Amino acid sequence: MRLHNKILPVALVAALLGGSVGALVMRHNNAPSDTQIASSNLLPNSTQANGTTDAALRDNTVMTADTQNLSPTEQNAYRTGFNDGFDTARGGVNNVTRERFVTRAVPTRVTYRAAPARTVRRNSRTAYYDYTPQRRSFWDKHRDKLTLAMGTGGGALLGGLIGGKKGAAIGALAGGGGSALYTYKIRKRNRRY
Amino acid sequence: MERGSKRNARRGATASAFLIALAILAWADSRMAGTAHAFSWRDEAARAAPLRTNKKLPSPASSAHAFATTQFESSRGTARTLPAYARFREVSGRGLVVKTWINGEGPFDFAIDTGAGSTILSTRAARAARVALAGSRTVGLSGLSGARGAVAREASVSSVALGTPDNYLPGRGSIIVADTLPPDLDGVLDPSELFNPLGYVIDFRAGTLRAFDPRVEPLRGSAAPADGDIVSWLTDGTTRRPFVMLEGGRRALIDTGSGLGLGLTPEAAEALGVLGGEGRERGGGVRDLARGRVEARRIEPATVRVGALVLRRIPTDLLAGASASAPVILGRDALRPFELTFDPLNHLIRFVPR
Repeated sequence: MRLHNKILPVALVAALLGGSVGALVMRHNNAPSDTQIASSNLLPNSTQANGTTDAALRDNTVMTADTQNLSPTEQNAYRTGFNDGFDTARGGVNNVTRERFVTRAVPTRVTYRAAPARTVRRNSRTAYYDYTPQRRSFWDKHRDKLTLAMGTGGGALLGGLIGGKKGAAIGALAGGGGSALYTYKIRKRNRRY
Repeated sequence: MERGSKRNARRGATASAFLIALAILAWADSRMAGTAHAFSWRDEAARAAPLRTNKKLPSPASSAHAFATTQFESSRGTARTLPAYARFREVSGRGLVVKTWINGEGPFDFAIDTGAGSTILSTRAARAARVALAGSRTVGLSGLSGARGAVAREASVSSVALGTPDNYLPGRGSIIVADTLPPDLDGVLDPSELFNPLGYVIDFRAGTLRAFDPRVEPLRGSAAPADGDIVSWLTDGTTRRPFVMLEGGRRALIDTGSGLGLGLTPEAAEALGVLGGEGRERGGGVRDLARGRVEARRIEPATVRVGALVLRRIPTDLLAGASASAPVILGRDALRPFELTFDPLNHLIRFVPR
């Protein structure tokens, strides 16, 4: 118990010295962007205080008196230095006690993302099919007309051979009629497939 | 005398020229008309091979027996033979006609119709196949026009075979008997119903309808063909009719029973941004199974997107007289360039241009 009584004054002195040094250093520096978050590390809620007496003494009694006129940044630096000094003094003088302050690592930034409700696969591949008939031959384009012409010519030729001019005329009519009947009525269409 | 022989020679030459011209005409005509049928059945089978378990090339006559070793497990847990492919022919105004046997009787001419929602049998064919009617219960038929003037009756069949009398399909049981079919058609075959639980492939170019086991050879969305695509098989919730999603969120029914291209109601055309124009009337309109009438007008070709597949200048028909709830139709004129694979297990449809 006597040994324990010596630890506290030494720790307090070391903490005050550390806090003062920390405040002096930080006065001339710009505060980092995550200062507010870092300061929350030092709040009682985020520390595991195994020795509640020391923690209460450190947080409530000593620090408030010395840091009233400091800016929040300086207060944070002061608090950090205070803790460091306090811990060093206690560890250096007496290793008997097992009391430790453990600062939790808190993420400096929390980003919220909307969880995807469903994964959709986007198919970037595109295939094309064109129904336009391509590269039609002369026969394809003029099949009907050619069939008709050939039928008429053939009929005229045959009629001319058989019956002269009159026969040729009759043959042309018959051949033209027959080939037209075949082309436009009898012949099946759309048989390319 | 000499004059007469000259005249005879001239006549002979012209007659020869005429015969040669006729031969050329006949040759050219047969060449053009027979383009699709120039390849042999072995070529078709080789093209069809990738989705088949059995790699043998069956002869059409014995195709049902060629797959005797390829089996699948039916929904009842029994092993059954995978049906062989069947050949169909496209008949103008009737669709994809395939020879079908019902209860061992036939052959009947059935039109392959993915948009039917049920297999329909004519009263005449039902009588010939001794199909048992399911009591006096009637069902109403509804078509593109929204008319409900036709009444049909439910019936049950014990077997349905395609192509050959013993090439049985896994589906059986309930069908519909109606008397509203055209006189030269004995029935309408819905492959989504009759092939279930198997998948099926309709190859327009080869003129074949064949089955595959989706548990053995499933379609995978990640394995889309380079020049086609694999898209989701959507349904209307009551039948297995295959719908696909067009760009813009509108659904289109894949309907091999329709001779249309991209069939659009005026409302759908407006929503898809398709410009109508004057267009050309198509053969006096279309009569559906419910005895309703729909007029179709071929308009400027549109461009639509199905999944990653962009269909440029697709033959487009504007419908008049269709019900407001009529879906967008992808008929034969739009589907003809493709081989379509329907996987009922994974609810996927594959489009591959041929």
